[in-house]
Amino acid sequence: MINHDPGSSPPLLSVNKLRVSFRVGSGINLPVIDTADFILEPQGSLGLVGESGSGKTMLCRTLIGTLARHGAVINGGNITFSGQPITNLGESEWRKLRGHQIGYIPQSSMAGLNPILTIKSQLSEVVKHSTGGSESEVRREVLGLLERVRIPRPTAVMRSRPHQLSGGMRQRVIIAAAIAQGPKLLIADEPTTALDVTVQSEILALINELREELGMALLLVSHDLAVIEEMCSLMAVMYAGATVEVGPTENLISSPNHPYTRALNTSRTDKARPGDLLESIPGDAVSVGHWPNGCRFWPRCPIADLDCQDGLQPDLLAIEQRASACIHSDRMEVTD
Amino acid sequence: MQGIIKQVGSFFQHSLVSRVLQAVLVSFFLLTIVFFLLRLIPGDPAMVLLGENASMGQVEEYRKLLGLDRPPMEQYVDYMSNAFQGDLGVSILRRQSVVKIIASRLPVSLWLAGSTVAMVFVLALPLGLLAAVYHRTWFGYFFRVTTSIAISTPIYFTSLVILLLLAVKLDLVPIAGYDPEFPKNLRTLFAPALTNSILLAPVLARILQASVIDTMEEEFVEAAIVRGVKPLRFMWHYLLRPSLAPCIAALGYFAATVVSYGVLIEIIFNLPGVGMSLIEFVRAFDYTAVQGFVALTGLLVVATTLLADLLNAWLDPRANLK
Amino acid sequence: MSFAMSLKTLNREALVGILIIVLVILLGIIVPIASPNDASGFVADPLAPPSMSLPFGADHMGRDLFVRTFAAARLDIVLALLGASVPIVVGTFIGVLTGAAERKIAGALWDALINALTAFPEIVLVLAIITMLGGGWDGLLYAIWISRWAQYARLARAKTLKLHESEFVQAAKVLGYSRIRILAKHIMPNVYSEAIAYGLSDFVFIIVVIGGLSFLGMGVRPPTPEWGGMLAEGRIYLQTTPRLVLWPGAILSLTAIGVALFAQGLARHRKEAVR
Repeated sequence: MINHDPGSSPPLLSVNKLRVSFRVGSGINLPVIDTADFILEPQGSLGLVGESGSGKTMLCRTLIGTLARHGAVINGGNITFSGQPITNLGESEWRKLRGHQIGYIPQSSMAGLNPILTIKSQLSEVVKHSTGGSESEVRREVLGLLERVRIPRPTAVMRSRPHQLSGGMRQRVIIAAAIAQGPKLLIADEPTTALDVTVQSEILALINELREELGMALLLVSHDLAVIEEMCSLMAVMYAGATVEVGPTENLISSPNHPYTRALNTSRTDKARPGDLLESIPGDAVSVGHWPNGCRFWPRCPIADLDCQDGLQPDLLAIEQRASACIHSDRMEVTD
Repeated sequence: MQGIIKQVGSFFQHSLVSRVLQAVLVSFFLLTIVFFLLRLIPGDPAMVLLGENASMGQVEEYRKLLGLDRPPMEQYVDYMSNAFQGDLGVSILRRQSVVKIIASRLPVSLWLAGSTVAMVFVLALPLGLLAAVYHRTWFGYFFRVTTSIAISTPIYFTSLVILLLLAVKLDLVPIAGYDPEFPKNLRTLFAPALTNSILLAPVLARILQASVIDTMEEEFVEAAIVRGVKPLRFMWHYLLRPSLAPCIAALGYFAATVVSYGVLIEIIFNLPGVGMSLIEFVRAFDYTAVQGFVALTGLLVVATTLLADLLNAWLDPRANLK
Repeated sequence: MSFAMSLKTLNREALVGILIIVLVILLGIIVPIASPNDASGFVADPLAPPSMSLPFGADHMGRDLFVRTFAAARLDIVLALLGASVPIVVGTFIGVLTGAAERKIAGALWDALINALTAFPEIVLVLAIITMLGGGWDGLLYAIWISRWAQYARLARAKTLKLHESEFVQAAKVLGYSRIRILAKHIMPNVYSEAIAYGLSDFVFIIVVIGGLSFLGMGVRPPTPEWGGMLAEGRIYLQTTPRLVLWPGAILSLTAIGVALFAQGLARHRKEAVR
């Protein structure tokens, strides 16, 4: 576990030895997160990286309290938000947190908006909470929201339905809905995956601006290291349900302490120059229910030995500002 | 050139015009099948109808009535052109237009269908929604088992059990018969409509349940939960409305089933509707009337299916995108 | 996968379904043979109450209701099997052939024809065919065959078209297997297994239709014991002696529910196996 300085104010979000699993049948559980550990300070930014199936999305769902809808439960560890435990909140308590304290941007801009409602209708849902007001007041608030996410011709956009807008526009509307109630934490699950590269950087820039403007912390989920590097000062790497390395983004990228982090780094396409040999990670990502014993990465790991193949997934071991779950992290530089 | 052909092709696959044209084509085949239905009669229909002792004159007259005195091709062309003008033949026994006979019996059946639809909606919408939201709990299991029991129990047994409970044991409704006056007829329609609903509401509820479960997996639902949409608004705009398409698509099936069940229900509850008239035609070997009835109900289903198709295209902007 | 193995892994619904089906079939075989009473014999006073020798009592003509109910089980199940199996075999075969013939316009016309055939309300079409062909159990079977095959033809055609796109059929084509061989070895088994899964739920429907038509007096004729016919005869005594309706109706419903539970359990089992 990474140490939090006990002298300062409590962290905004602290996830501690979190375990989550699907309830498959009566009494049978299928673990999807085991274990996740990280801390996010107020106004900080943390990027969550990992291949699909590593538990990133389930982690987001844990943090917005929608696990039950997906047939999953927390069965270990704890989470605190602004110093308050939120591990076992009831639905009514979650309702107070969601939107007001925690905003959420879902995965795909295509499916993130209700296809049958107009933009105005969907945004007025959030402003009504704060204004409680008249039609004209709601209208003004919605217009203000659209302007805040830099949407051109907001009056026309207000009247349209999602399928009439471009992907980038839709994503701006989704962001508007997520920040409307001034949350302290914004959770974005692959916010730019479905978008063109140019639109992608516009959206990321918008998120950054809004973050500064509103003093929000950001939890950004992505499989794209370049995005994380640009957006987040901290980074947590997930593999097969476990956070395997956590720490400052630049340190993790320049000198990874876990072979999986390094593998992610060397398989990046954005840093490659023509003629470079791109390394891909050997083997396939392990899926939920098929995790190996020991360190779950060992079947694909270039430095694994017999010590790695037994027992449980090793815990994160903190060294200064960062932590790695590799028992051989001391060998990392040697093999580089 | 290839591109143009492809464009024209996709226009015909997806546009509204093409849907109407397809329905017309289906109706054409449907009427052709109905025309050939009469040829299933083994031997000479006129002889079968009149028996061994009929005179040659009588037989000839019937042959003329059935149109059997002319060459088959001519009969077919005549039948089809009449049918497309709304003339589905004449009852050989009553010497009256089939459409007219059926129209005269329609009010009872329409009342029955209307009260069934109302009851089915009242039962199925909340049930389907609840079953979707709680599909992982005991309620989901309970729902699955009870609906399969309700759906598989034959309607003629369900209706007898309902009569036994409501009419014989509790004396809440009359055991059979129909009062044509408006508010009073609802009392006579309650038991038959309830029987119909016990079979149909579970079907609709299941379609809705499956569809709502799919909708609940959508990202926009997750996002709406996080921004805290008010419960009633959430139920209607986020769960129900986006899930209605499969229910609407099943309208054709429901129309066919209501007609099928109507035949049995009207006999059991002694309601003088179109279903009962079909049984009268069948018992009297009124071939042409039966033929007309089949054509009419088949066309009704085709029309309902088309309507459902158009309704879905109109309701869901995503469908227009394709 | 052996049958015993698959039985063990089945879920509760399917097991309960099988149990009900086996029970009804066994009673349908044993009761008419073991009982001293004949299904059509007059053995007691009309409407005689249930007793040791007459577990369900006597019907309105003094016949043994217990024996009649289970003699009807035998007949109805055999009829429904016949009614369901012919459309499965014939309809699916036709569907595969039409699916394999790669002709666009003919295909569209064929689809319209099938849509027309399946548009008719089932009971209405069956009644009409029986009117033309004549009633009785044979007329009823013909009517069911004529009205049901198109369902399977549609299902099989859609599945065949889809399989034709699939990689293993494309691979077989590249390897130079003949069309007939691809059809017989790769497509037919796949399509038939799906058709039988659908046929199981169709069986419920057919057993209900057989009873329904006999209930209307257009199917199996009295005095042959048949569930629908027994319900029609017993209906008159609903107010005084409801057991004439309740016993055959309950066993008929139980059979239908058993098959439905089995079909549903099996479908869920297949779905979970895929996952």
